[in-house]
Amino acid sequence: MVLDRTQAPPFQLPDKVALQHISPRYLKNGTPAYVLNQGDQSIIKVEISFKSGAWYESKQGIAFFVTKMLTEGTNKRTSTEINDILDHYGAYLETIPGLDNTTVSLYVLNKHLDKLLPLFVEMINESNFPEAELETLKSIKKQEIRINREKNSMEAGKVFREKFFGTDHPYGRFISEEIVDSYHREDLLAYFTEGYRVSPEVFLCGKVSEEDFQLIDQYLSQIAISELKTSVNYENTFTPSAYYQEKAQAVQTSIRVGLPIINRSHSDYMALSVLNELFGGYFGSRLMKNIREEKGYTYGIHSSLLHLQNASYLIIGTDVKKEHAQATINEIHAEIKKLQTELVPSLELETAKNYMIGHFLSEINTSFHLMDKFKTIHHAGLGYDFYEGMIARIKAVNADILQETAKKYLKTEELLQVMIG
Amino acid sequence: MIKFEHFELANGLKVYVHEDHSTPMAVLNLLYNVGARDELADKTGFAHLFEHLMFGGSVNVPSFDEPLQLVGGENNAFTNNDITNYYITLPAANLETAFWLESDRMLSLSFDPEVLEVQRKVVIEEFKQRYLNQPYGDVWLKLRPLAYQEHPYRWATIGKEISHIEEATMEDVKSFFKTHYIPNNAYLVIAGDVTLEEAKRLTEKWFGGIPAGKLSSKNWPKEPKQNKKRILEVSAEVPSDALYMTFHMCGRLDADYYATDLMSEVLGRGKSSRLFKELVKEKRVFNSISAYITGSVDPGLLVISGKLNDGFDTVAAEKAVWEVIQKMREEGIQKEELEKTQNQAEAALQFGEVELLNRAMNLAIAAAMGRPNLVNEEPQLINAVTVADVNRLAKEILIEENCSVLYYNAQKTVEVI
Repeated sequence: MVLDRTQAPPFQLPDKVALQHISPRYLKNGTPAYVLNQGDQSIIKVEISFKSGAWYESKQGIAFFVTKMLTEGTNKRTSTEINDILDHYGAYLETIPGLDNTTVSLYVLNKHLDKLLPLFVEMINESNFPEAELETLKSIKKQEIRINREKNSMEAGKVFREKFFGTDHPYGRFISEEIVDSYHREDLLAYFTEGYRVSPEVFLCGKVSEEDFQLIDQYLSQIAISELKTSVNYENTFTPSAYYQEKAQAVQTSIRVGLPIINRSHSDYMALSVLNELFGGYFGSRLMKNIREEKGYTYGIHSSLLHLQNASYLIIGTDVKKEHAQATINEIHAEIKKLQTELVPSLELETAKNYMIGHFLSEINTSFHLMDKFKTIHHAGLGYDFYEGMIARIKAVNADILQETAKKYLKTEELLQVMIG
Repeated sequence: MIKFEHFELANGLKVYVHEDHSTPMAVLNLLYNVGARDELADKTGFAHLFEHLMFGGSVNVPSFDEPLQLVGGENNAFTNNDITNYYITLPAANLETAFWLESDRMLSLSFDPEVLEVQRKVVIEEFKQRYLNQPYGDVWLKLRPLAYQEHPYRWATIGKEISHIEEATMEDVKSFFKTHYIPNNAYLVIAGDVTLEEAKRLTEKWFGGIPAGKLSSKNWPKEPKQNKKRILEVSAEVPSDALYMTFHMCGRLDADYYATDLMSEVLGRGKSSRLFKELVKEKRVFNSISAYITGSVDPGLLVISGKLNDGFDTVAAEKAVWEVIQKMREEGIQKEELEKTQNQAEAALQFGEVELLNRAMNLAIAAAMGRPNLVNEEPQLINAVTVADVNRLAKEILIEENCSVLYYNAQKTVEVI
């Protein structure tokens, strides 16, 4: 039989999917612990998160400095000793001073877990912020600020958030060299002692045996929990505007365009997700086809839906040949208009939807992915139905719904536009 | 441990199957044994440009991406100095779509002139975005020709210069395809929720009919032994001075490869490394510093790179690095230091095996070097390295005659008041 290569093989996609759920437990001191035991490798990730990110800061930058200094010295050990221990066991400690929460994660082989847990707790309870290490961190941070200022894409991302939220808002302010200089050891110590370890939550994934859990409980239940202070509530006061900072020598212009959107619990959310996918969310999207594949203005262009605890926004990002920057903006507007005025052809819509489904299926296999998925719904106050009903909800989106969604949520007059370079 | 089975088609395509039924997904990874080292000196950047063209439609299928997206699949590719690798992840039930698409572009491309024109532009933008429009982005464009004088590793994957991309013709494209994109120059890995039987059936069905080609000889010039230190000084508008030092080392399959890798880690991986402790923490010459290896198949480079703190210049910084090296060469390393890097390597291997795609890729890369089981031998090879091995290599490799230095100085701009 001659092979007919012009004919695509048949295919199928599932209608629903079941995820392995986490088991909610509590440590001896009442701290919630979410456990997901899955995978063949003998590795474990121990993560603790606190409500002490930028959103809760009394002084700008404090979350960053305290979190990044956790590995730099405790009452018992110097920075060198801490890093020697971590490195000796091939363990990796990740500290993220986020906009909402700060997280500290330990990645380690199961067989070395018992050697690292005492240190993990010591860093969280007994850091002492040595002067010399703080000076080193300050100098590293200042250099990073200077380098990022030269990177148009970093600068564009920064200016976008500054304009979007305003520079008094925790999501819209960035640490400057002056702020770095203003920090002293006493600031860190005071905050660390009183206000850092707020509302802890523990997330465990990888191979998590009952013995591992008991061991983790034994240590992590010793963490000294801080009181939650009443936090300031910030208003989101978005006003669309256009900003262009030209750089004479630049060969490319970095562009960021976006606007506020609904959050994951809104009933229109899945329609907006599909719309974003088709518009600029994947390699086959309209923006990618138009700006990269047809015009060759850029190496890539993406549109994403981003969610913080207290804000959600859509952002389109690209770096384009400088002389085509304005043309790119015009094309973005034209593509939005088209979505609002013309129904999306059925094959194009099916392709975007199926791609989303396949991508989703590829993201629910490893223990690390499953924990990320759980954290998303946990922070958004949603249940597993968000994922388990997702395929059916994606399949239900049709061309009429998309057009309505584009009219309702992609209003071109509400776009904030930033160009650097 | 990555369990796999192997078979070969009559046309020379080598196939490796890694079953993993814990996931509903499958991976099809196709590696062509062609990279920037296979390019001509006046047509550089070609292997990478070609990777872009592979997405521009094949003889029977006008578009590669859309039919794959329609069945819930995603794909990408990368090119380095040694190889070009294409990979697809999709629901295992739809694996045949990946075979259909991947085999058709091995059979023949569409050779559409418009595709060449657009991808030429895209690659030129990539060149600018990654190598020119970034502070320090052009470092490897300068370092490679300094460290290598004969071997084709002397140019970067993106190419020596934009003009080579601008001048590529359709004839070049066709001849590159005919020479390198043949089944007997390719390594196929099928991984995930698939059986060996099904993988065999699909491979025969879709790749079996593609004729073998003539394998080109891989006899590019060997890099002669460096016997004099090389220095290049450049200045650019960057926020701070930077120092780069390279040392020639062995290739990926050499008996000394893992010992050299661990040596670079003792020297400059992470905050417990010698360079960090001495020069960031103690003397504060550097703001950041690290050492690593390029990991190429042919003899590669051990690289030390760091950004300086204000108040030091690159010449003084280099001197400070040599002092650390000198000490390591004279006193040797501690057993503890070696064990540390071995533990780190073990953890990295375990974490690296979590993702199915990583397992498939690593298997393909090892297979292309002629040692597929290297993926499983690595832990033993790493643990077999001794303190004596590292001490011997430090004396052999970390010497001035084997070193190329790039002083990357920040241009002092005069402020206009």
